[in-house]
Amino acid sequence: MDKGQHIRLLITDNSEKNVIALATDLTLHLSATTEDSTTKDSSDTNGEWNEYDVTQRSGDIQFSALVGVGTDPYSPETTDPAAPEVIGGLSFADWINKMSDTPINWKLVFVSSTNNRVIGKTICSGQGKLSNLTAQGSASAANATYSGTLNIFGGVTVGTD
Amino acid sequence: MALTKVKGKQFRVFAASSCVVESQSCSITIQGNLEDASTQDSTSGYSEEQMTSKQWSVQVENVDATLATLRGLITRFNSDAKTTVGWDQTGGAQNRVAQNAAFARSGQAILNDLSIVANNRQTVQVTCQYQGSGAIS
Repeated sequence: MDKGQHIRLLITDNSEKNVIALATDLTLHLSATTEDSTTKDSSDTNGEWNEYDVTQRSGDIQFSALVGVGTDPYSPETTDPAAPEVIGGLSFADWINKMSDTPINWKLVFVSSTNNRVIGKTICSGQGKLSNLTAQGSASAANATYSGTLNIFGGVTVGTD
Repeated sequence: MALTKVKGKQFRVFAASSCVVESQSCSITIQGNLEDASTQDSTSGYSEEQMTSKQWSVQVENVDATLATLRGLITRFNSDAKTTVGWDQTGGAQNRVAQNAAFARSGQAILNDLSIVANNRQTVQVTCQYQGSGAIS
């Protein structure tokens, strides 16, 4: 079975090509609202089975990471041009700038190799809007963490690469 | 003949005629929707429930998380088409062979909830929930 670190959220907005640096957790959740579409034309027998249709689909991506400062060693500026498949890191500071009404392009990808920063096959992709960003510090030496929610905007496209 | 106990690993879900592979657990829920049909004529003080409709759903936890599986599940989620989903006792290689048990049932269902959890150092966990539509048979 694949490990969680082998699936990463890749942001491809504004020509950026970054995964979340110091990422820990990631969840893609898709949900469809259904309604019982039986009518008065249905059987008069008590206790018949409901028949459902989908009325709306929605989804979100929740992610968590550690708060970091400095330059990501795999940032696009420092990536070896000979290895463009190695992707840079998106920090908490970068996420703050992404809280807007402008949709963000995202991809859920398999990754491998050093630091799990080499892009593999695409699971799915789409657009989303950052709807929540929460950071936490503590009165101890525990790492400061942050989490965010990207609400899926307009649909999810299955990878074909 | 005495009943033989069925082990949890041999109680499995099938989707689109295939056993859902590498799942860690599954559950089926069949629910009857009741309404209180008691009237002013009733004297007992207790409700008198009437079954108005029935519904069923199936959930499978921690299924195989390969690229093909994940893509297939998202494609199914995006589709309005319903999928044949059922359950059966299994046996044979990797407990994947349907045994046509007396409790085996199937019906048409919608993949209405899908979660992919990829946490650092943990196995990728995929949970799917199917909302049954129409009768099970």
